[in-house]
Amino acid sequence: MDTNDEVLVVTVGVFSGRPNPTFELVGPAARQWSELLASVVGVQAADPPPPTRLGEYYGFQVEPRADAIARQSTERLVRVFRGVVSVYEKRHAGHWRDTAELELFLAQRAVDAGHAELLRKVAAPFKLEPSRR
Amino acid sequence: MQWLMDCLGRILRAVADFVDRCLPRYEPAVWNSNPTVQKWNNCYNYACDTQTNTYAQPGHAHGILLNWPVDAACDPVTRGAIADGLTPVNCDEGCGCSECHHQVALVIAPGFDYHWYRKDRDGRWSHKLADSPATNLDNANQLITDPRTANRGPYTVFCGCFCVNKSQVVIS
Repeated sequence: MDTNDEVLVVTVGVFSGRPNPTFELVGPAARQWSELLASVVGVQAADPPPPTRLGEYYGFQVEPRADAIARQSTERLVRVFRGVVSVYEKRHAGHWRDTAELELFLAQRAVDAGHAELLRKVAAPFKLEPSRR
Repeated sequence: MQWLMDCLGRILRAVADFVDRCLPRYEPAVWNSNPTVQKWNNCYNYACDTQTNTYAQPGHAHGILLNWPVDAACDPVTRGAIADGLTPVNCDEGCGCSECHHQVALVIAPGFDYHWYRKDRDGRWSHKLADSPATNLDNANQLITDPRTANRGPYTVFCGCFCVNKSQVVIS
């Protein structure tokens, strides 16, 4: 793998107390994510996402792996939930409409990572089929 | 007589302040305004009113590692919480005011997850869903006056109430 390739950690929002499941985006998937994100941020402003509800799916979080965070001067966290892409840098938050279907992109990767049953259990609003490789 | 009424009023306020001194205020901004704090403190952190920034798990600070999903039940989570220093209490009796306690409640989605609520100084309850913002609303967008009757979605099992003495409880 190219040492300049970014490794992204995706957290699936389903639990309240116990740790949430995670998976990684590496190589082409990470680059595709970055391209999709760049096509959304700054384009169409949105209201903050709706409140989360106990026991229901509450979106994805994407951030650089911890070692990447250590290299960066600012921590960047992206949340995607119900058609809203929220970008947090330090204490600033921006909310943008998910016109590039980032949430669906992440849901598909979550299914491929083995989290389909969990997403179904928490009524995640996607069509969930493993992608053909 | 006015001076007597004023004096009594001040005494009553002082007594109320003394009783309330250990009860957490509902101040969601303390938990929600910094993304790192919001992300790394879950319902257990919030209930214990302790920001560890480690996504605390019941019992972890005392060598108890819960095994998911089989430990998503009242007994294992309660054991972990007690090891951390929480004290079971009758929900209706509460924690009293002899020690510096506040009251929390544990609920379970069987075989899935656990969740905690805490009682705030205003007498209502609030909670924090994982890395989401802290709130005083339940799943039906209603203020929480009693976690036993709140809309909790699939967290259908009410395990019980506990007292938290922040000077004695250690979580991680």
